[in-house]
Amino acid sequence: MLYAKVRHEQMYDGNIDARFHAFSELEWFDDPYVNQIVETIDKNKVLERGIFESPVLGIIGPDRLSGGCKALILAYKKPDLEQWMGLFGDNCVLPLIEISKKVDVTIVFSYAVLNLPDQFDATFVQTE
Amino acid sequence: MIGGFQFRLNSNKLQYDFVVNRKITKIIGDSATGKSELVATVATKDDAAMNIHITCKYEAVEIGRAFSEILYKRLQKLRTVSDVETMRDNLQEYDGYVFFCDETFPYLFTDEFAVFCKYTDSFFVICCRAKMANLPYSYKEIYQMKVSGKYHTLERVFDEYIGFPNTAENKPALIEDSGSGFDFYAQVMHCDSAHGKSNLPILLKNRGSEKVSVPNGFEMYAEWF
Repeated sequence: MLYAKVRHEQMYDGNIDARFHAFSELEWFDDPYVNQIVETIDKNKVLERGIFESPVLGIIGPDRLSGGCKALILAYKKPDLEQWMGLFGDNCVLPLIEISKKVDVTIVFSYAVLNLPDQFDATFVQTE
Repeated sequence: MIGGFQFRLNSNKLQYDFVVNRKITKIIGDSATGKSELVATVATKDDAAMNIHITCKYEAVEIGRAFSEILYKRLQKLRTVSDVETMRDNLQEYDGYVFFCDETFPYLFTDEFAVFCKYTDSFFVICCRAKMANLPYSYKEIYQMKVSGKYHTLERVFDEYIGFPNTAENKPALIEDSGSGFDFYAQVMHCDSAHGKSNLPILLKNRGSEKVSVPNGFEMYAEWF
């Protein structure tokens, strides 16, 4: 289920790089679904566990994944961590909704997101 | 400072080429299009080993180099100052730059950063999808990355002014206030006042399944459309 919180932006809402670095585990990249996220969002080729080939950046590790990709992986693997909707580009919305069907995720909305699908399951849990 | 200048960045892996027109340029769009890479590359431009070449009328700087916690706290104390001369004295040293930042910049949504933008004679390129209510940027200066291999440029998101949403079947739009915002919308569409945004939920519920336009009071953000 996607649990939606509504509030104003806070100072470290966009701090995805540091949070991903703090919480991610190399074992996460054994999960085929995580690798699917990397391939779909970043268009990277998975070479080995945690090693990818980017069409632009070349051979990279998890730290060089895009912010949206990191946020999706954190939403899937560490769902107790709230994610700010501003981290997700339009190309991340449908994967996010798919993730919310697998695990309960909490997403913080601080602005009206334009490209949400017409119908999906979500629950508002708290507003300011 | 006058806009309309070219910004070009070349590194071993990436190229960016776009025009900075106005004080604030906002870049939105899909993930993995190179927005944060642009900011990160500007942040390391002074490392000669990185082989980064920037062609720009003004010096490009990642915002963290200028806007530190120390400056943030100084601006917190100065916020109540309405004297333009005092603000300019404090911020003049930050004139003449193009500042780059993205949503990882912790002070992006603060009033102190808005004051910094207002009283510095510099340009700002901001990679952030969220509505930045504290900053006065034009809908014409909202772009998304256009990517072709390593080459990145910007394309405008809103090419033209988008008119008011049509209210289907002459159903009135619902305006949250009853003051100047309501007067504004009443000039161009049939609308009812909710007499306060706290009344909006119950009024919308009473309208059942019919589609209702709810313009956001007098806050006309292009992205709302």
